[in-house]
Amino acid sequence: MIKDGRFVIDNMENVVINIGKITTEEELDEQEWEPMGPTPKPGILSLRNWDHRLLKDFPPFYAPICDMCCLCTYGKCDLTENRKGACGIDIEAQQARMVLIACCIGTAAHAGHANHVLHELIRWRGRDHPIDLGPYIDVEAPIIRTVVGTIPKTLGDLEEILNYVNQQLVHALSSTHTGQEGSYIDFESKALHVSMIDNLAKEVADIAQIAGFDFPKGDPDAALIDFGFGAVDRTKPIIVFIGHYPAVSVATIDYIEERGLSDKIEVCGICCTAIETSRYSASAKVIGPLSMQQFFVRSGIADVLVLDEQCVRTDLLEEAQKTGAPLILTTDKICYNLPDVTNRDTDKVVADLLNGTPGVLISDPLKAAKVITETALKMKPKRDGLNHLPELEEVQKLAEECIKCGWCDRACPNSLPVKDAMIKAKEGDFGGLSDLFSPCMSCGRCESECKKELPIISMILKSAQEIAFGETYTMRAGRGPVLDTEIRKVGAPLVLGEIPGVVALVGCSNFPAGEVEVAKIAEEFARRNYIVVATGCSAMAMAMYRCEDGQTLYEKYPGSFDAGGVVNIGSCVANAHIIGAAIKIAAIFARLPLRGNFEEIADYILNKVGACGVAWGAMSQKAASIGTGTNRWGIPVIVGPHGSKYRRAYISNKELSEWELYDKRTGEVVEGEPAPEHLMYPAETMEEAIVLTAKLCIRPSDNAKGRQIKLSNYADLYKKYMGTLPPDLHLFVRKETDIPITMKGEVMEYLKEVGWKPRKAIGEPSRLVPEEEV
Amino acid sequence: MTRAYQCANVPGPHLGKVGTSASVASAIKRAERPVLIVGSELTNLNWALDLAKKQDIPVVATAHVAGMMREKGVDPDRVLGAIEITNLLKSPEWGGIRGEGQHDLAIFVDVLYYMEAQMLSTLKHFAPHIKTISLTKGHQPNADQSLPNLSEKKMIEFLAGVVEGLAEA
Ligand code: SF4
Ligand code: SF4
Ligand code: SF4
Repeated sequence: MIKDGRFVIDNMENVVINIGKITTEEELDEQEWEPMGPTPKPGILSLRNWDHRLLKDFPPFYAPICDMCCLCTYGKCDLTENRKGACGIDIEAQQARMVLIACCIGTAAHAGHANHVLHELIRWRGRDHPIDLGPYIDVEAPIIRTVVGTIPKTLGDLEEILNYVNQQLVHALSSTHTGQEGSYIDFESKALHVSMIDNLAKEVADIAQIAGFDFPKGDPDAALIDFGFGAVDRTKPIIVFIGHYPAVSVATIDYIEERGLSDKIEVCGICCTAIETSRYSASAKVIGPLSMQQFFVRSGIADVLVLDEQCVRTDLLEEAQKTGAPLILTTDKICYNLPDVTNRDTDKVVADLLNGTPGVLISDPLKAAKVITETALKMKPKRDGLNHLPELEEVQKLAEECIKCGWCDRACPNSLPVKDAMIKAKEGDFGGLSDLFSPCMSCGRCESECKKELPIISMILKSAQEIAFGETYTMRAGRGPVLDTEIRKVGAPLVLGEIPGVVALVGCSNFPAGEVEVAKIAEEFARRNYIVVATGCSAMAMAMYRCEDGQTLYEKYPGSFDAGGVVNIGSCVANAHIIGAAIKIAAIFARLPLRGNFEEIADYILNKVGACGVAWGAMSQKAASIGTGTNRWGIPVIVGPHGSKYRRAYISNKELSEWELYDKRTGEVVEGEPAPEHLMYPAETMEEAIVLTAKLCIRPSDNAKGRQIKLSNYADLYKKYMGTLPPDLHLFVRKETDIPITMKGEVMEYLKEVGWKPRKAIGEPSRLVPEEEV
Repeated sequence: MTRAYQCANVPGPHLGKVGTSASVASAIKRAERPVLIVGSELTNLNWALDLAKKQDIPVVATAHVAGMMREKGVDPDRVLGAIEITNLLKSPEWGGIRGEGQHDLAIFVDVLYYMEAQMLSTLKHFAPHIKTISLTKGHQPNADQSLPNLSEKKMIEFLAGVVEGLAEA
């Protein structure tokens, strides 16, 4: 019998046989790159201790948005006043369960994207297509290394990682079934787990995209892309892609180029597909974030609308029909009861669409590319001269029908003053309607409430036409991962605090007061020499703003991951690279082993990397899993006020909490500080979020100089918005040398007042129980 | 039936009362340790500060409202995020703003409507020791009692009525 072991076979150079699997020598080298850490491919229980420690310092805070549960036929169950559901669940566990469900949905959306794009790319390029992130990235795939414990070399290698992703997702989701988990803490632990899996799926998706579509490999000087309604050349046929999955837009750009049509067709995008498309071709235009979706569709500018997946309005078939633009669906995620014509002759499909078929489903991107292009070319002349928005006189006439019932205001998520705008428009003053353009997210809830069926979105857009169509902005194309060379430069100053932090503006566009606030947050921190990174709708929202000197943020600030940079990392899936950058600081600067070593890395990030996420318009379940996963890695996240509707935050209670850490150097339990104070925090206003962002970048590892810089930013911002020194300043001053020099006098006076006493800075702050105690 | 101002925000079978000026005044009178939580909508800021002064109720300024209060020459008793004060209110062991014991009444004024709805939900579910009143524009069914949905003019009258009610012995 052959025993386990390795065998070198005569005459077969470089081949070694491991029983069960044939392994090349190259692969063997690979296996030796780092000793395997304690938790490769962790299951739900593997990192539970870490979660429980996080949840001790940052206990879940629940704000139920619904008092009931209706998930099974025992229900509806009323969970108020200590009542339990028929299955025994209480209100806290039910909230945590709903959070877990949301995180599973978010993870499934990213994993679906990853599965989808990987399989398509394997079809295009083959399983052996290499993953090469260029000469400046040696630590590629930091999340995969840390969680899974492998280094993917080819597209085929990523498949195995997705098998693990899919398996973990099944386990996490299964525990939300009636009669499974009953503890809110363990529901949270599962939410943290599946959301880490979400981060992993995103890394797989984006690495596959970078390798397969040849997207920028961390280029700080990625191209400046024309941005906004005004950027679109309306004399040409216009194709608009909406969603997240770029295979179809990439295939369409290739098709257009192959036929020499590049200067004859406009390719545009909304939401993350726009960012992805601009990563592929700098001539693609970006219309804007999700909040622009319905506005743009209503404008009727598009000759063909193409949908792929995630965050797409579910009524776009109806909306597209109103403008006469055919709708082409391209994935199994969105089918809208339209015929699947993937196997029909493409010329016939084009003819059908020109003859009035409202839409089709084509699941092969290469075929879809042909249909999309040919239809756009032929559709354009048919749609020329059509008017899709009412004239201003018509807007006034429509406003005259308004009965001032005010239900529009009450339906609006932001309670915008639609009724008052209508009253003004009746008098021919369109200022009220046009003022709504910026804070409105074109969700349409007002319209569907209006008994008079007024086309409120179209009326707003028409009234704001000069703002909407007149402006062209620029956005730097999504650059992808942070380079190892950049990490080498900023690693030390970030950990010591001399670069005061990384501010990551991420997530959707459910903003409380319009896109401009994200841009203002970015500007505030870029000016203060933080590293500002952005992804997804927030990266797009930031583009819709001009600084005082008339430049856009992307024109004014460099795209390098360095102090004072404003860096568009890419789409939602590129969020993985932000976490990846934090992991790479641990790997490159602190030389920590990554392989299967999640806890040590997350502990390092939580205590030493001053990063803070701001998901100002977080709306989707994907944003829930992105944020929760980011938290598991030790990075705090601030969400906008709508984020309070996620039902759960992770909030410390500094008046009642003990801030105990371990000092790894001595193995002792030491007095810590609330740094960071919260892990998931919904802020009410932008100003509150700005002040808190500066505070949440403080870390126990800051040296005196770094702490001074951080405190001077925090105190300065606090003064600017609140009018005094921060009332918790003493908690963050360890020694006199921590006090910002320019504020020394007043800070010392304040410290005396509150009876502050100096304390020791912690040598090696950690939340992991030292080994001898385990 | 009075619906939530944001009309889809119906929490469930147990809804708070629609208050009247008299019922709000009487709840404030009955409270031993009320706290006033003033947020970013700014609609009733002056009224709230006036109430706090006359009734000697401690004020928590949420969001960045402290800055605006200080411009008016008023120093709030505490500056906390809406979620931070809610978190403190739900802990029975917290000593309250003045260290005199946990509050027995939280009066919300002008916290951003939908965020306030969430904070009131937390207190309704997890702080049985505290009663809540919302005097933010628009009905809040998660509060024990709240304003009905009123026009601006009617709201001013309602709030004036509260002050009158409190003045009565
Ligand atoms: S899952 Fe439980 S709480 Fe929900 S409806 Fe069923 S029995 Fe009721
Ligand atoms: S819902 Fe319609 S009719 Fe009523 S106020 Fe609004 S726009 Fe006018
Ligand atoms: S479309 Fe705009 S105004 Fe209408 S409900 Fe949505 S955000 Fe409010």
